[in-house]
Amino acid sequence: MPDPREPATTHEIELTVDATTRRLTVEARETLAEALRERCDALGVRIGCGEGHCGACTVDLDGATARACTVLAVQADGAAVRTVESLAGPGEPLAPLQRAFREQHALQCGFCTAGMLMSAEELLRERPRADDDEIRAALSGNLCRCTGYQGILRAVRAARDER
Amino acid sequence: MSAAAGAIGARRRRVEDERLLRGQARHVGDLTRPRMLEAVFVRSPHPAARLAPGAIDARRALALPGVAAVLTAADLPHAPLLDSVRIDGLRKTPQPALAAERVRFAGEPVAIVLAERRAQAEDAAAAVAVAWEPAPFALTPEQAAAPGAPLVHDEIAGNLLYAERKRYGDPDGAFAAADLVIEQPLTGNRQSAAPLEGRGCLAEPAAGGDGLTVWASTMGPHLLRRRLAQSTGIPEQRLRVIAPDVGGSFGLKIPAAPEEIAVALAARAVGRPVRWVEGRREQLVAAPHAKDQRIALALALSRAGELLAVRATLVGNAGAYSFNSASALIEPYLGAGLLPGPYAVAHVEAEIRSLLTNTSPISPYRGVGWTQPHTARELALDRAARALGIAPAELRRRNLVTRFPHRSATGMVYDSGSYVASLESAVELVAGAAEAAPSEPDVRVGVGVTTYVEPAGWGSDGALQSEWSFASHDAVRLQVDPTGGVLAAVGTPSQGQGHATTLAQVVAEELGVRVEDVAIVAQDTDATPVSTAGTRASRVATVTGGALALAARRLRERLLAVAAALLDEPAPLTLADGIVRGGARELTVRELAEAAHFDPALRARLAEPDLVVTQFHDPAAAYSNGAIAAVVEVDLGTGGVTVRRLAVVEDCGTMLNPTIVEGQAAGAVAQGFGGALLEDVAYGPDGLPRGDSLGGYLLPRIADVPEMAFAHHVSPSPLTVNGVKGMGESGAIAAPAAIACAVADALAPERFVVERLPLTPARVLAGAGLLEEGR
Amino acid sequence: MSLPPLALARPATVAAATELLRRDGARALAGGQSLVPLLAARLTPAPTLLVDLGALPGLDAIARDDDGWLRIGALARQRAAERSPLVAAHAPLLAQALALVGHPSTRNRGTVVGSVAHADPAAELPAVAVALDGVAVVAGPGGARRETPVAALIAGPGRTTLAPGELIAELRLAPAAAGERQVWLEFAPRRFDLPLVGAAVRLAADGDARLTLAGYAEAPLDARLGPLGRPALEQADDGGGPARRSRALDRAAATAAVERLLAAHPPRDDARAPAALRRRLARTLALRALAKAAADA
Repeated sequence: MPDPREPATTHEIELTVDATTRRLTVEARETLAEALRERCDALGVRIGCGEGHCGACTVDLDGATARACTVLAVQADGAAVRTVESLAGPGEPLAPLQRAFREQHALQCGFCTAGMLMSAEELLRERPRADDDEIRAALSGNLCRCTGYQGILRAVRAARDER
Repeated sequence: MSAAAGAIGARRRRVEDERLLRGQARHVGDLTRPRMLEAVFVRSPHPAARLAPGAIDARRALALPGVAAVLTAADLPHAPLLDSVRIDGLRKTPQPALAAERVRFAGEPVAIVLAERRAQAEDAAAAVAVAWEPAPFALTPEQAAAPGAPLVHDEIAGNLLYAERKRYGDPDGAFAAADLVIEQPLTGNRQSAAPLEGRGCLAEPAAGGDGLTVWASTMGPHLLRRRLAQSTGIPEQRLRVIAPDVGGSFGLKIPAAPEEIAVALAARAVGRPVRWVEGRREQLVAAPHAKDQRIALALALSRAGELLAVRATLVGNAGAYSFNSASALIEPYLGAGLLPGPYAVAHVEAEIRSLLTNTSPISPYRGVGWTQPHTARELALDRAARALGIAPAELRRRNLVTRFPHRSATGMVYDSGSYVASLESAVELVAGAAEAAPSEPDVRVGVGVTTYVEPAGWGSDGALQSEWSFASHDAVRLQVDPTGGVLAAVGTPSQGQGHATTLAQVVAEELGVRVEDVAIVAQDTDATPVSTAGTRASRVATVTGGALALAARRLRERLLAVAAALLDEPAPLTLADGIVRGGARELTVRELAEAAHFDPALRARLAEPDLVVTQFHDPAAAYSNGAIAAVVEVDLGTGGVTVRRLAVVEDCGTMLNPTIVEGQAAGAVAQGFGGALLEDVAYGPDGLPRGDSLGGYLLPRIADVPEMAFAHHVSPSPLTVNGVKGMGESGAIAAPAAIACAVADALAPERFVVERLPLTPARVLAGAGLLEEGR
Repeated sequence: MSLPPLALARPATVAAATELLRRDGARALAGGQSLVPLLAARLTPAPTLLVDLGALPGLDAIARDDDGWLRIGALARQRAAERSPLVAAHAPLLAQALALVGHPSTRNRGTVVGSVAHADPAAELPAVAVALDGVAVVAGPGGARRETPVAALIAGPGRTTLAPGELIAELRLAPAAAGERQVWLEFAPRRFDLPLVGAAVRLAADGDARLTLAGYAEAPLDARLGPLGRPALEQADDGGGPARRSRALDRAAATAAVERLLAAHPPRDDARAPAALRRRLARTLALRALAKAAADA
């Protein structure tokens, strides 16, 4: 196996994606978003711009949100990644936050939703009593084109109040 | 009260949401087919250039790993794309899928690169050497109209795609008699619809034969199918177009993309599936743009505030091609028809021009050509109000149409509406919001109120009233399956509007079944009847919904006939919630369906034993209305505009689902917000857009858009099925005006005249006279 | 959208990292929040070798030295600094600015040092580092180590005086003096965007004011404005508590000082904002920050 301390165009990495450990060979230039989508079937990680502006690719990386398109796959070696699929596994009921999104009509086309949920989940974990200003600051980097953010704000408040 | 009765109008939760929330949506970028190749386009870096034969050198690219082919126009013969609008005097501009000897805008594709992996295709595209011969170019209508300007199309003299003057009533007389004339210029911004999922498609050749299956991020699978047939020559019935999950569109995905044609041709040429997923920079630069009108508007009023006449010159920047489907006239021409807005103004004059430039073609985006003229008119009304000493809301109230039906000066027949009531609701919703003291001494507060009418529910009649040639009708198919489930097949898929929910509500109520038992099938041309227009123009609730309601009524009769035959019951039968009741007896729809399909004795007794109906519908024109009010803070220290409060009042007749109506209204208002304050593609003098990434093209985010207060009025249309009118573009038409008027109001002491959008900090400060040296 | 072809190395020691960084086309990768999007945009020329600093041990510390200065390691994330009690206590300016730098997901990954090294003239952190008398501790090939003030490190937009093979191992920041007030204000048309202009104010207990501007010039513009706070008035708490100092801003002097500074330095003019706008923003933000610093007393 090539020495990762030396320059290489491909690297072997190991990471956990939604509790499944995977060993992958990735290109040095490959982003975490690409690796997740193309090698780990994590299609809930969406690419809206590929340049870190829109937040559609937001995942949890070792306990903190990250824009997967701004992280190289190599940088996630040894890491635990959680995507939207970690909120409710197959057959499991929707998580309270997801239910709140549904109840408050916080999604229309759904393209931004996975990233939005990951950012909202982190917020409520860190600030269970987050006020409107904190909600807006936390989601400030997640772009939505459909909803005008009205339902999203209501949903995060509802999920907060339910806790 | 049964669950189904009242299905229309219920705030039902969306059936779409469960899988979207779980990350299970599958867009074009998520689909794979065996042996699939990824496509990346080689695009012009110049706004205008010529290519000599052999100018494209793909040798280095072809040597790179994973590269399967580099194809140019010469490799992929096809018929060019043409707009389908039939308006006298509109010149046509055939558009190739791949440019050959000439490129006409920065980003125009000249070659398609196919490789095993996306990154390889991008590497190869960068390695294609093209001997561009840059040519002179024009970027604005003024440049394009100047004597000696370079011609975007050799056969179109003066780059003039269209010029027409329309006169209704006696505008000259009205202006001559006016006590007050307000002249309002407006340079509208050029925008991008910028859905979060860009365009894309995956074309797979059939094994044997010339058929093709194309998955496309589209608003109209049947429309794309027709375009593909026209361009590629593949017979339409051997083309299958499927819209998978689509991540927003707002009009961008109505027309066929030249790239979609190129992908189809490439797949056929190499005999393998080919997928193209648009990148964001690609979308912002090379995808069609929107809006970009230059307007000179004037209002004539009496001293008492009566609006006597509206006159406007509307010059549209068409871009390099009159884009397929709706043409370049989607902007200035449609804008002209709605100049009266919701006001009873009798005299209107519009001079309409559309000019070709070396920029990306203009195509529909929410609000289309109605938005920017609306903004100009409302700004002028506010200035008139200030000049006459009448409150802006009051000036509007005096001129709003109050009696229906009302035939506007331009020939639109407003069927019903709550124009005054909506205005009053909007004013009430922001009452008091302007009173709170601003945070800093040099912050000013302003209020803007605007009323709008929206030609919604576009069928062919609606198009006719806009003097537009536009086939807009749908056929739907409704069937009850052998096990009693109901399937509705329609040609209008969603890109976020929730059709699977709302259309099921219509069917459930009209048919008499439970909403849960209705499935909407919309995505596959093989499975659905033709919609000539697809999902657009706020038409689905009225056209598709109307067709389904009519189909359901017919199917209901058949179910009742089956029930009557089975029950042999003289008492009147009722059908609700999937159960037929007659006297003391009842049958489920499931039982009816099984009998209708499998009981030969029963079938022999019925005139129409089958449970499938096809319904065509092309409704009368209907018009929604509403009002939007904005309270803003203008910080004269920075030029920053903060919207403190937004009131959104909506009347779309009978609502199918009020929650979805509010969601659509909110989304439209947020897009209008962006159009007022943030968005500008902004071509630089080099012919390249400055807004070429989401860092440069600024879209509204949650920290910018305030909470909105909503109110509804319901003025059912007397002309449509169930009084439904349709909506969706509302806020995109009117929100820029509400915000612009509020800013002008805040800076009224400075006599700030808004003449350009977006209202950037620099423009705000300049308008307030605060951007000179030393200040 | 995808990045151009490149190689990547993950050295285990600073010495190995500096050696790799000497190679042609080599570039250090830390948080990646500036660099990776730049590469994805495929705007040439691109580095061909990324030297991922992520495996270097001990570079993520945020600590306070015996001399009171803060030490922020090359790999310390912006989020860690945002939450650090040391930063809150001794560099409130940095804490205030961090809350406005990008979004939580970018602060989770982006590093303080990385933003300084990226030297975007509009960014918050380079200006804050200059305002806090920041010193970059630079590691070079062969175990070389030198220190350079951040003000000297930043050579222009996106450019530093780092030589090939050098990387910033840590950033040292001066602590707030006793009784000092620090305020950060910024403006962009969209909240949480890179500012058009940002203003850092340090108001000393004796009323001496210092202003550092981001986004105004090609690099952070740093100036001492002189005594702008009126002399402190001691007010003893009759209950026997500690005396409180209240301080008022000499508005006329502040305005004159700010205008003098701006007149002496022409503002940038580019597609994001014309010069006249930057001038007005700088004036507004500077005066508001000064007023806020005085009022916070």
